[in-house]
Amino acid sequence: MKKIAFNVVGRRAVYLGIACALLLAAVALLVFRGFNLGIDFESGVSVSVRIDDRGANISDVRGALSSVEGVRVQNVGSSDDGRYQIRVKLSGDQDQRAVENLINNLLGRSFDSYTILETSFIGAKFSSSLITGSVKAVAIALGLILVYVWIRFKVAYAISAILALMHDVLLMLGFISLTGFEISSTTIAAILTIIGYSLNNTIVIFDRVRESIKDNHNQELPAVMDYGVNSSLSRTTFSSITTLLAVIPLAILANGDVRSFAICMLFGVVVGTYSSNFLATNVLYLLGKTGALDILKVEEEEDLSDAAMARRMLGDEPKKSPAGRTKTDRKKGGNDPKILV
Amino acid sequence: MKKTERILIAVIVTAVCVWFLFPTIRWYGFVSAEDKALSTGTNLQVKEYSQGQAEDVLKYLEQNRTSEVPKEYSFVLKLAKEQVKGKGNTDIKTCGDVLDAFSTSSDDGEALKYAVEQYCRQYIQDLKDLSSKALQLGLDLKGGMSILLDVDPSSLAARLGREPSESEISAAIDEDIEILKNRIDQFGMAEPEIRRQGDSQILIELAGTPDPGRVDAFLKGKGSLAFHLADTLTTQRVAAYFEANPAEFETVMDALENDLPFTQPSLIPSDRMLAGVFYTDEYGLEQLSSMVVIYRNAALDGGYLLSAQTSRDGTSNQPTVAVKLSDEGGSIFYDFTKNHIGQPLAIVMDGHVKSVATIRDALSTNVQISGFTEKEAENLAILLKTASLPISVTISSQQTVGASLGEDSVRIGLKAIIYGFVLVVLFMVVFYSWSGLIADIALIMNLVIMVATLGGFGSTLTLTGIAGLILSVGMAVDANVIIFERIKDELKEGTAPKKAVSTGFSKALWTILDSNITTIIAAGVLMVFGSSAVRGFATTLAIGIISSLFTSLFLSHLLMDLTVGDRISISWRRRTGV
Repeated sequence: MKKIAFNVVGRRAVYLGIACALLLAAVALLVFRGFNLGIDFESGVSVSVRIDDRGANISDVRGALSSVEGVRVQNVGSSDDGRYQIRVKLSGDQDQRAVENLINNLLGRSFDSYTILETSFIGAKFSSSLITGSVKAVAIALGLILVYVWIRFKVAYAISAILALMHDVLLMLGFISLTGFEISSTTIAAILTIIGYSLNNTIVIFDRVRESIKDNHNQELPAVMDYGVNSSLSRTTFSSITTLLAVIPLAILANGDVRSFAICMLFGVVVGTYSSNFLATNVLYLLGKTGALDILKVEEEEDLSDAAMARRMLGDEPKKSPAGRTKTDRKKGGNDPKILV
Repeated sequence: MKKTERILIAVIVTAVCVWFLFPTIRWYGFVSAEDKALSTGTNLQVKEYSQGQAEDVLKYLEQNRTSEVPKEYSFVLKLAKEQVKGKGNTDIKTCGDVLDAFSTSSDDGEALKYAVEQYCRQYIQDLKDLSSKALQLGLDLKGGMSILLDVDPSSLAARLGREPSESEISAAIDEDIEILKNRIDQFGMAEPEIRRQGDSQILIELAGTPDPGRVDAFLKGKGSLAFHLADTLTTQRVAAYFEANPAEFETVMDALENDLPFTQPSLIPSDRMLAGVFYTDEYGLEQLSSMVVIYRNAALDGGYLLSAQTSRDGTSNQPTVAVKLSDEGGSIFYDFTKNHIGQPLAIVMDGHVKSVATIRDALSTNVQISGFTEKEAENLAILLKTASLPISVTISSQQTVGASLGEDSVRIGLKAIIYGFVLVVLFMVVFYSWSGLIADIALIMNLVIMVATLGGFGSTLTLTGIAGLILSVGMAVDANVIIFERIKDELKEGTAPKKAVSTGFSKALWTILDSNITTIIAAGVLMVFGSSAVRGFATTLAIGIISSLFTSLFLSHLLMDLTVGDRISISWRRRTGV
């Protein structure tokens, strides 16, 4: 097998360009296409039915329910399943139970054999609390993660990781808009899972990058960072593949909410892997290069590599003597900094 | 830590997990579908089953006196042996022996029927206990209805006449939950689950396919409670009339029992009516015991009731129910009781007379009702308390999942988990050879720990929970991949296998901790702020991450240490290190 190695930092223009293009597309989708807000976000009644009558199609269902005000009928799954989702937006003081009964009666009049699979009712208060709750959850999660990464790494790493996460979230939202999936508790769960997943990835990669910076003091920063990314490449690939292997059966077999969850997950794993490898690293590089934030002085507590052990034993630990601290040469304008021991 | 200690810990953890897993395995592997259905039955179904079973057993035994007791009824042998313990013939084999063991001079099979009924009831109770220990499927998987209620503090404010404090609202919500629990029991709903959600919400989950009409009834507490004056004289006249007209008596009894309309006997004045007196039996079901004539107009309705408690009469030490009425109710009641001392007063709920007590004094806000057994007094106090909710509720959201959809989801979910699992397991062996097998053992152990923990905590597995489970599988593999890649790196640099393993683990330690802790942070936030569907997902994910930390950092490490000597098999390309 030939060793695959990416020139991540060197070709940053390409990688950042791809990320920006995707972000623009996502934002455009969000602005112009918007969301298919699920019942979770809209006060109303939703009834999911399976109609077993031969030859019944969606227009029959629509016809049967035409007298219900504000009714919407959608096909669920493949069209031969005979599964439909009926939604009624409730206005004012309409009684949910009355609407449910009305739908049931109308269906009974038009079809011989049907099964009500699922009904849900969402009150106005519930829907607004779900939106604020979800936004709050994401904001709090991101905040806590930022603090954790800051403590464990450095602020530059935390900022890069969070920016990569925001990229993931925006792309996921764009993807959801594109596919027309409902925004529901389940799709929100998918987004949050991807936040966790992508962050997991980013941290594993940053760990290697940090180690690489520590161990290779006399090389150009891009090469050092590339080495970090590439040394974790097989792990990143394997982990992504196993996660995909675990999710793919769900995306193929399941239907309804779980299926949209799984499909969002598949997209998210790919996007998350991309952002961890190519976006987060380059943002980190740019932060370090422009001198905005220091990415080079790194803690050594968990460096248990043999090289570090040996250095410690020989007593020439670079970190311990202030004069010998790693330094960067940021004066040379556009040039990449070198790490001097 | 010494190797023996580590092995001991691994064995203990495995044993504990298997212990918690046991009820789940028993429930899903060894309990028949009929028994499962029985265990979810309502009180009425349990009663019908137990009594029916008792009849069947008796009939069978009587018809087959000489033959041996068949397998399906073998439990009666045990019952019979218990019955004759220490006296008489303990050698019981045939149906006749069983009947003899139970026969006494006076009854014809009643003792046997009672024993069988008790046995069946206990049997179902044991099933219910087992099911509560096993990992249960959520409503979205087994079908059912979940209702989220918002409480309305302004209703409490109106009742108290001032702004309630937070602790008062909280106490009122707890009381609401108690009342709803009682009402649901009375309505005979299967497996009700009621709990508080957040500060001001109540979540009700009902398994099976509850009738929405009944659900509305117990939510709104249509249960109108009222005090009606009873008419003893007319009641006696009606009793005499029915004795002369048994056919009409049957019709009326039947109508009362089933809450059907009927024509009032003509001797009852138009301002009065005949009502059934009901008691609650040991299954928690209402039973008609007698009938009484009451005045149509209520003397006082339950809206004025503030609280009800059982106590004992100071002088006679009789159990009593102490009722507290609001000031307004107190003055109405005082005026009424003052004029009707010595007359009987009926407590009527939903048209059923629950008890009849005699008015002994003029009463105002503090009412003592006596003349019951202790149990009856307790039941009445509960009944009075549950008549109205201290803080009113509105339905915030409601979801009903049909049982067939649930079955589909379980089948698909299981299939997806198995496929995903098998793919991952194969992948690991393909890429990491024998070490991959160790990762697979850790992975299986991870799944065992997760299911055991979920079952042990009594959580339910929902659809999103399954998604969390699948994701955890993926993440658990990740930890092993990180470790193995580190070990491979070490081997490439020429480190000896044993050393490579220990260095690999220590280098991977913080990477794995960092990446998992951040995911736990995300899962924790979701557990706190997410909606209930998201919470199920977050809970399984959090449990999965913690157990994967154990399996990868501890269990895999131990297994690697035990198996790796001078050779290591971590990839198919190079069989040994160096």
